[in-house]
Amino acid sequence: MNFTPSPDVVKRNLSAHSVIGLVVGALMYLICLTGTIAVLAFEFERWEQPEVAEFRHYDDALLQRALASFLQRADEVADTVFIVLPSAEVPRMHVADEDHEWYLEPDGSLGPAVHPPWTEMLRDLHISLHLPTSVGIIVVSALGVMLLALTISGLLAHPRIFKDAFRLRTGGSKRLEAADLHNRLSVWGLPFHLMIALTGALFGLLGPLALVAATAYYGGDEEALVADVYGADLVINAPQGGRAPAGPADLLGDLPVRQ
Amino acid sequence: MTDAYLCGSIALLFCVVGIFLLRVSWRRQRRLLVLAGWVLVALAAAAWSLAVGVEYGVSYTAMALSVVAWLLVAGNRERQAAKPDSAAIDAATLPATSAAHKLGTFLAAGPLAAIASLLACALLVGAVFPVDERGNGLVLTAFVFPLVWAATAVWVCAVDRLLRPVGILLAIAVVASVGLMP
Repeated sequence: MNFTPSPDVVKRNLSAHSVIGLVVGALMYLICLTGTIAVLAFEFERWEQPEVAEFRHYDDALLQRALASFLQRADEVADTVFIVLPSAEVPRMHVADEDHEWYLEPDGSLGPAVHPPWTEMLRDLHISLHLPTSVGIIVVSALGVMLLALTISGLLAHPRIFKDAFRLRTGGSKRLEAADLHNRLSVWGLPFHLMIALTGALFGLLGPLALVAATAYYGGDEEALVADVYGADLVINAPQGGRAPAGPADLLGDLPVRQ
Repeated sequence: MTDAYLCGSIALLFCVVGIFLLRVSWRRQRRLLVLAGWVLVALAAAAWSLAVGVEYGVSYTAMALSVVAWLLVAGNRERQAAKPDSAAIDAATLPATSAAHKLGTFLAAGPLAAIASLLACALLVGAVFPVDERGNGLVLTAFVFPLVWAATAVWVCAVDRLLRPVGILLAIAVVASVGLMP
């Protein structure tokens, strides 16, 4: 692959690559490390609360009982209540709103509160660096952007990175050895690094983008923007002369559910 | 489940053979082999997507691509004679500029580049996409905005004098703000 930026471009981008790397390296390491470990977050949750009932089968009566138990137990309930269904990976059900979250027993009654402290610590560190969430998520996303910047500057700073894609020189100059290692790990990890950096950046930057776009194009109505992007919330009406949905399971009937 | 395992195994095989073809054709100007290598990697992504869905399929392909290639790189290692003066690696340091320049670079590549990129991208949504396509435009912009900010940050960090990028970014932010006013 021919890729030959001028020596001046190479020099400037090498400088930018070093500066960005030095400034964000420590926090980037923390986020990448916790993200790697957090891949096993569901397993950690199960280990941390082994007493929680595990099952994969449920019916309409269970869902109705779960909702009723939740509404009875929660002192103040938000507009939206979620019932998270069991899957092969996580054979547990829980019911939650913005402020409350309980696991469910196989009969639909409420079980223990969802509270895996170590997993929560890990997730919060990865998602927001334990800063207040609204600020932390933007800081973490900005670090995702800097990882993208490191990728761009790295490509421009190393004109032989594709030509030397399979070359690794060891045993001679330590500097050359470290540079070769760095470049080979980088170039073959490039698709993965780009994917992780872009999707990581996306999460926290959606908020500011939505705020600006809603103000400019939707008269400040963020819900209208969300409806435009995702579609409006599902509204279910009983058909004229037909049977109204008997319960949540009726509404879930056509959705794919893992058993 | 068996189909998924079969598709996954075929995907891994495609990926290994594809990277191996790239390794074989490396530095030998065999364009057909290079093309075949990348086609096999693309087929691996398709097969993995069939097995576990696109979300995981693309991720698995990216990871397998890295691991297989790193193994081939390790196998291709060239041992060189040790150099007596190569015991230490120089520590990387920030450029010898003033603290004010460093702070200025940080602010220009961080908040200023973010604001200018955000406003410019938001303005483009309205300019490029008709009203009934605005939702799609916003989704596309959500992916483009981080890339624009990243490229801008690289540019800011690569210049000696900050005045020019700062002026341009401020101008973009002001013009885009005016354009976005309802």
